[in-house]
Amino acid sequence: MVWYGTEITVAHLKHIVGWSNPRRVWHSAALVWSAPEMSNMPLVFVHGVGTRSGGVYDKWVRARNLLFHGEILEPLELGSPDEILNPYWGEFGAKFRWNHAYWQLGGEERLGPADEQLVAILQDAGIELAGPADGLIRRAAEHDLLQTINAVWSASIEEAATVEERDDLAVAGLEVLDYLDRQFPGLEGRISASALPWAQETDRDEEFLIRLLEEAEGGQTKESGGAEYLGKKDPSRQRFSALWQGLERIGRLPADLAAKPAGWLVHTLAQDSIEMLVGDVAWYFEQRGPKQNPGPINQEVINSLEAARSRNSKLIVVAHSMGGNIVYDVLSWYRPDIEVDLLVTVGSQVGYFEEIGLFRKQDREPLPHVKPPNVKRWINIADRSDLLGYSVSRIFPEVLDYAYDTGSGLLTAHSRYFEQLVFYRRLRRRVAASLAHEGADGT
Amino acid sequence: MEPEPSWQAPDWQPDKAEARTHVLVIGVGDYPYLPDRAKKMLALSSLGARLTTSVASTAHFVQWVLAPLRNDAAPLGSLDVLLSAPEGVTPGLPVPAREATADGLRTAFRNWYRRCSQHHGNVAIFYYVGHGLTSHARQVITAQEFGRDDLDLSPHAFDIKTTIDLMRDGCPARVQCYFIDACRPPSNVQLDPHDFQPLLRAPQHNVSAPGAQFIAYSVYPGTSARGIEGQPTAFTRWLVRLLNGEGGTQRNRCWEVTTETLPAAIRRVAEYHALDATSDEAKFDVEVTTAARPGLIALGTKPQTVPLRLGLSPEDALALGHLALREVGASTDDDQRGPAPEPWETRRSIGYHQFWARFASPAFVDIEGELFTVDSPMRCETFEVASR
Repeated sequence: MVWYGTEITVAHLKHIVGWSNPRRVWHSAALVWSAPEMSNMPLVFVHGVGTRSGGVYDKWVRARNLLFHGEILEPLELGSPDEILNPYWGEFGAKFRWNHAYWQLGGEERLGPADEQLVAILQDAGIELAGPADGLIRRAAEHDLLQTINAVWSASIEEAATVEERDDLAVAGLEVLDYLDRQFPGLEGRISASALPWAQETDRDEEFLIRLLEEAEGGQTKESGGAEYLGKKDPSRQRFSALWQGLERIGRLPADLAAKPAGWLVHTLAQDSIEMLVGDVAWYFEQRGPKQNPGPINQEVINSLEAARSRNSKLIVVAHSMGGNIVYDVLSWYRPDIEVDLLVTVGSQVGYFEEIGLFRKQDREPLPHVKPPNVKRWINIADRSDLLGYSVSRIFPEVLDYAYDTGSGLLTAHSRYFEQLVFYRRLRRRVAASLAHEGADGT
Repeated sequence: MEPEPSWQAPDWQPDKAEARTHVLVIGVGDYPYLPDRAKKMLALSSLGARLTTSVASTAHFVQWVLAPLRNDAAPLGSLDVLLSAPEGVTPGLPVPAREATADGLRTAFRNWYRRCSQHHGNVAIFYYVGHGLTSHARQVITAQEFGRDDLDLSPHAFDIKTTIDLMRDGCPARVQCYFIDACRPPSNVQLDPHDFQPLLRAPQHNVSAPGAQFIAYSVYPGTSARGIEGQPTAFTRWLVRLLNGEGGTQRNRCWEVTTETLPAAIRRVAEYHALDATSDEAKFDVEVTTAARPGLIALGTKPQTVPLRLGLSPEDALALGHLALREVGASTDDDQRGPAPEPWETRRSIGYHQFWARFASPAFVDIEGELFTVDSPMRCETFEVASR
């Protein structure tokens, strides 16, 4: 059992927040939510298909915890980072015993999953990969600032070598988000970097990012405790080396891509998505077990839900992709006694599986169906470009469906949600609205 | 007419052939052209216009110079102070100071050079606090008008590293100390086209055997220096502590701070704080630029006790060991500590000590009375523990 959620301590977060600009005010969100007097509200995140520990996954768990805390738990006064639990069921998922031997026709070369994803991110963000490497980011930001920031941060967090670097990146990313939110209230629609008042002063990618970080930090030489810098403060090269490595990685991509056959990207991404989805889904249904003796995947999720439930009297569950199906199966059949105050399914297939009758709890009545009574509120989020994200409200009318535009293409939208800084900001509003609604109902 | 130094010894005559200490202190805390005028240039965009810590640091260092500075071989001959304080900040200096303008820096440095060059036994001390830059990998210091002309920054900033190199080869003073409390950012191509000049263009002397010279920086290359608003920087506070004695050693019944002991002490402070990468002390840096025989900077006072950090290797042994310390030849009781996972931090007198470690676990071999020294300004000692 892996409890990644317990890695971050309150003391650690205080250290991070102590580093950050004190003028950053979490509670400046436009939507004001009065926290219930009761106490903390644990958050359980259930990952989706194709998730395996090590490498990129481990990096993202920590960054995601910080983003969940910084964007949702803390602003809404719901709890500390150690209230976030990340049950890891990937070790019980499909196993490719011969390292995808069936896949290779021979002769294909792979850059590695991260680079393949990065190319997709850049293409999705509208970055024209032809032309000089320096200026890619700047040009992309002209086209779509938010998606470009998402792409750069996503690549950089994967480049970060240490947990401290990832923490710094995550917190700095939130500062950038706060800054952009002040510049463009609501962060709605596509925003061009040219709308930034200082945009014309920066041509090179590095200049652009340094300036963005400095503006986000307040553009001053003072920090908490009245520190004064005897020269140029170094928010950039010193603290964010991963950001520059990510930038260099982006700069190398045009040359790397030139050596690839046509259709390479579509082929590799489609292959990854499909084989993992089919493999993990088939494996889940094969071993999910009877009600009295749940299979290892369900048991892992049940353990986390029980642990979170035992801490406090309220609980938020966020589930991505297949994680939503597993959580639904657990809450509707295996453990209908576990109460969840807010369920958030993202890019999930719950509606689809319900319609074709794959869940344990079979409901053959005509629509509409009733959501499990132990799930008080349920939000479902999907990108219209996500081939694997479906509506739930048409099956369960009590569920609120929301569309979120990852800015990604058909093949990559599914895995983009939790890598995007802006996603957490939007999710905060939905969570706050849902919890406020719950309070108004007296439930 | 050349300006007089801020202070000069009543008994010192410029033409009198005797060794003296000459000190030049420059503090820049007011940059009226930053950040607005220079904000378009990325390399300067976050430089603050007010540095109150520069004012406090200058005052702190000047107070040490006038404390009085104790060096019988080269008593204080002159002190010149240039200080630009932000509006509303009172420097509180015991001597008058001129503004730290670019012209003021050039003139003051030239005159200081002349004073320092009058006798080969002189001690030359230079102290700067203010905004620092890097151009062509050379350290640059700035005057108060810095940024006035954002198309040409060179008239108001100076290549201090080349200046110091020229002093080494062109100033006969046997002891030369340079203290630079400023940022040392990575080189930036935006700054390289600006032709920063040294403060000393054409030395009047040609020194065949340079004296003892070193440069102490508040930070190592590529990093930022900082201080708390209205307070001296950590570097300047440490510098004064070390010059007052903690950076010295006993010689000829005196406690001497020399060009050998002070750089070593600064390095020791940085090493002691290296575990805390966020501390200002961990960034201290020293460059010894000549191999000359060490020279006396000042006579200090022997510290009563100094910080001592004791560790074990492997670290796991700390959590299992009962530790004890005894000063050799002292009548005081042993100092003891029970098992704990972190290193043992305490204070001890300078001198020889013995160390014991006894383990509850048979996995480790006890350490019995191992001898080690405690010296200033602090000591880190890690004892190897044998495993069974």
